[in-house]
Amino acid sequence: MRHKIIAVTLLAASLLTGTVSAQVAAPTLVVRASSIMAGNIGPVIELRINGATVGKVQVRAATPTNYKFDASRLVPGAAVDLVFANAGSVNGQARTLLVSYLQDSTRTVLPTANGVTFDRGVGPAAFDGLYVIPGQGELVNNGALRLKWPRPTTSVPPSADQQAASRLLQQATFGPTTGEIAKVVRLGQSAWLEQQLAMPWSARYVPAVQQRYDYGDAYRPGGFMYQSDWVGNAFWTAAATAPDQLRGRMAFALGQILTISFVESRLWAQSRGVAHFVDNLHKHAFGNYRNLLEEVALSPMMGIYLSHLRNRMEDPTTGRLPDENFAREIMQLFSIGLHELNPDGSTKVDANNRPIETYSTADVMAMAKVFTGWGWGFPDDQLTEKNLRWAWPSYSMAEDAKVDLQRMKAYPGQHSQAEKQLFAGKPWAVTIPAGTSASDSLRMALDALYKHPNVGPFIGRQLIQRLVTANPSRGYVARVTAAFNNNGKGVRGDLSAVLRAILLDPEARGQPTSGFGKLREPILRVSHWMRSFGATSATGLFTMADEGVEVSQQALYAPNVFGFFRPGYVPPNTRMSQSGATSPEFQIVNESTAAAWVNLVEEMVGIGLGATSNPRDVRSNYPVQTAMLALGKVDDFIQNLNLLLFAGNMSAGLQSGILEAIAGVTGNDAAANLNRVRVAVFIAMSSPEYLVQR
Amino acid sequence: MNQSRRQFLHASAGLTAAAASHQFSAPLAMSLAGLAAMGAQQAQAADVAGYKALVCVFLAGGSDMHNWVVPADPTGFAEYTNARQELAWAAAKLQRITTDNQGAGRAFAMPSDLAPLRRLYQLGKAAIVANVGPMERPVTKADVLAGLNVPAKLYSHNDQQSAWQSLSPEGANSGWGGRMGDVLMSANQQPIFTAVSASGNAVFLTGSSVTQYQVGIDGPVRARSLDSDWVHGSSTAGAVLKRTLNSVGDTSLQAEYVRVHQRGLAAEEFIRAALAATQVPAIPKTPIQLPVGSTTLNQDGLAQQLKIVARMIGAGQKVGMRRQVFLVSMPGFDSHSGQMRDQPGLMARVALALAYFQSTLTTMGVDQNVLTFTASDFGRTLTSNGDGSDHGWGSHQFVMGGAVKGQQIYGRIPVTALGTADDLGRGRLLPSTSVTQMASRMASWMGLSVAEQAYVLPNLANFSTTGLDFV
Repeated sequence: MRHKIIAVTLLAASLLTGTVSAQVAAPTLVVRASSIMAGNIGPVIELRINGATVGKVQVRAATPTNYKFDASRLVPGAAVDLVFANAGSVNGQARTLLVSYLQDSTRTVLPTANGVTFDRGVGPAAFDGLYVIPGQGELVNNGALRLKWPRPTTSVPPSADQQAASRLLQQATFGPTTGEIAKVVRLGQSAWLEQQLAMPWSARYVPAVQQRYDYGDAYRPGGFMYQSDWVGNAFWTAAATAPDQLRGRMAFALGQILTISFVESRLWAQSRGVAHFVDNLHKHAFGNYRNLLEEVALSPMMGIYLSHLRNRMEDPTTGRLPDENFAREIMQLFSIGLHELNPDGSTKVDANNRPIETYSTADVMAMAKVFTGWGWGFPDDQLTEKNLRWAWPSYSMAEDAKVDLQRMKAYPGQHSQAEKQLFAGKPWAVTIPAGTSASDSLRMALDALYKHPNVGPFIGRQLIQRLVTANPSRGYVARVTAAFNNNGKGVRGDLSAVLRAILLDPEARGQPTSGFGKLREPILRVSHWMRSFGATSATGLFTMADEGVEVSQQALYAPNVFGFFRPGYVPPNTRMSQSGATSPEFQIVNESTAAAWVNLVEEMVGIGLGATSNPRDVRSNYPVQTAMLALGKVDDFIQNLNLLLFAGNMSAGLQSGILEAIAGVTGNDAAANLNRVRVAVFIAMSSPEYLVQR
Repeated sequence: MNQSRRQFLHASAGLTAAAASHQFSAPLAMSLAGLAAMGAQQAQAADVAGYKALVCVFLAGGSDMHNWVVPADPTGFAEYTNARQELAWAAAKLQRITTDNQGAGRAFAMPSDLAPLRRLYQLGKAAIVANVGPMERPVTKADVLAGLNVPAKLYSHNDQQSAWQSLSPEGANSGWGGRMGDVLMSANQQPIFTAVSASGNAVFLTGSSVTQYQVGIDGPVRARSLDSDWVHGSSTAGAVLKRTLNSVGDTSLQAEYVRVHQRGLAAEEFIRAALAATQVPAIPKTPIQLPVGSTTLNQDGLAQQLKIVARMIGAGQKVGMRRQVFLVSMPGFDSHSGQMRDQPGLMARVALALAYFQSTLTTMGVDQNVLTFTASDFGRTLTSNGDGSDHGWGSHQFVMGGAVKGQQIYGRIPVTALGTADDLGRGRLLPSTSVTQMASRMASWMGLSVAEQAYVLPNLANFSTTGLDFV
């Protein structure tokens, strides 16, 4: 059980176990230790406080175990001696005492902390000040680990407000920072949200690419310095450093619904156009879904990806019919989905208890005709049939007219003149009369999709999944649908209203129920580390565009338009499948990616990530955390990780595991403390416990 | 083999068949009837002697197989060219294949990019199964056009991938490869390797008991630090890591994630030595021309996946595996545009990879023991949209292996023209063979009895299974 508030206010309770005693127990000093026995006899610890023996115990445990001693005499400044008097070896096996840490109700002390020494010697020689080395955890000789018990920690454990702030930031940004947590606490959650919503948009991705293009033809498509990585690098830069975090997080979520991907080879030469697509996701992140849908429909990048750029109208003489690719996916994936939905996201059924399909093949073919005659946005006097079919923009310095940044244009005479009947027989049926212009056809078709009652639940449920929880309740979906349908001022499709509804909903902000939460996706795990630990880029470019392949999530490289994982994915043969609980992120979890994540974290916390070789471009030196350890503030350090990574919910078992891991680092200098932080973050972020966001 | 376990699975299969087929409406009744039939047939022992493996090569996106198997007689070729317009291969690109059962005067060919696969076909190591598609029951063109008995979510990528792999749309609980595994896993000393993917999570390999095992192209991935006594300077971190990766916590999400780690750790320990001892011929560096640039076969994902499958087959036999199902896949087949530009490279990559795989299996001495088949979301329209084709239904698939009765087309190739009894519009083909029927033949080869097949393929009773004896 996690009684966070109680644990915070009752310091008498153990920091580790978080439980509350009914009565005040005798103060206890825990020595967490294990041993390698020799001759079936373990090392004996005799604990002395101010010279008086308070306990003796034989350590027989092979794995770290708590050994408890009476701490009634333990006060700040008291001399503590942990005496090991029966070292030796039997048949070549050395009797070894392994001390992880000492801990009372106020703090934890590592055997390697500043001021701890090991005085080697037998009997009184363990106290004679001769053969003294800095304290260490692995003891093979007779002697005493000697220290003065430090003052209680003066810091206050994270407050409930801080924990709630960290939780919100894990849903609404690419990862909490200490500063942003403080801001949320200071402003309050609602006000912080409004501040984020009020941040204006400005393009970030196109300028990043254009800056390279401006260096000359070598940096333009076809040139030897050209890269598509600039866009991915810009993504990681923004995730780590941009102040408009909510906008970025929403754009990332929208991009997993309205997907284009560099896996499509035809986009390799379109860095700037893809950058523009990403900028537009940001631009419309708080705007209206109708505008976003239109921007996507007229994006030449989407036109390339789903092949409706230069889609030709039907030709009865050859039997040619328009390309159906975008027509199908704009319905199936970008607006209404496959089946009619209730506002709460559940599937409607007909009189025979079967789901009701939202569109037929006839609808796909009619919609395909809508998206005909659209091509590159050349100047209006160049919109000829020949250009529609064959012209391609040049991006050379001499010729670049930035056509890739223009919306697609309707080429005169190239649009299907047929009547287009959509959703015949339904209340939202629309007939686009024969002879309607391309732009009017498009407007009418997009209006029909946008007004379809499915959009709220279909898009809304996915946005809840991207931000908050993988299997939202029907009530939650219904409330978000209501916000989509009407933002309170009579406007449909207002994404800022949807965001407020998602993030301020009691299900998102209240105590998590048993089924609440989601598995963190790899990109957000990495961005969390970057932000929480202030990762910096040696080049300033955050050259991480190629990261994520081994964990099946490389930014801007979704395998296809269906994205990295499906919103309806239910992991088979699991507890989730017993209840049909959707958990999209599990679709990329398997034996390979799970192990690969551990290996990734091991590198990330140390040599870092990114394109340069050794060390890599993006690293952290953990200045805050190393400073804590240098002052011996081990408990503060653990709680710092707890707040940043776990929103205050790190289990006792993981906390003591981290302590054991850092106790295994010898030495007391800056390098040792840096390693302690690295190994702690490694254990924390590679743990399955971290991977569940609640 | 644990006979009592097979019998348990026999008895419980009816229930699980019902669970697996809940996306269907009609087959539930069949399953209940099937339960009774199975009770009567419980004594029938299926054959798990020796070693057999089934390998699914999934061509993701919906491969235009109209252009893999092309009519070559004058009438057929003229019909093909007329229907396909700019999507039709020129005659000079086509290489005839031998077949004698598609009707008098009909001849067929494969484009030269498929030469390595054609060679296997002509040697009798590969065959074609014509116009296959997932179906719940046989339907007529009139039915489909009237909207009767049309499979759910036809022409939708993710749903038809699922339909091929599980006989149900997206959201299916299990696939027929995994269900085969359910029946056969008791024959394996290490059941965890019954269903293996080199390609990512797929419903094909999921069963009620069987869960797919994921292997990387170099073998299982292991968390390095578990074996280290120096992890960022810590001598204790490796042991701590082992504990944390096994800590189930108090949420289902965490517990299930831990299970994946546990499976991975256990499996890697079982197979590590056997895999290290199983080397196979290197993938040749055959150059392959691509639409943009070129590559070599040894860099190609499909060939790399098939190589690890070959090694897992060799290693599996060393650890007591008798029946295994594998999945590999290759993306890029959704040729709405640029089809003529893209198909040659796609074909070459598949044909060369399959040829490498078959030759490797022969070198290993297991070519008789492995049956490989292609699958794809769906076929495509005959007609062009100007630059490519759109989603269809029936498509031709290939089967390959030493046991295959090759150099033959099984089933019926429709006339390659518009307006036929098989044309649902734009040359989207009504399948003449169901996935169920094709799978049934392969299930028989794998040793499953009729009763066991009813569990694996819940709608099997809807179809005749004669005439498809390609293996």
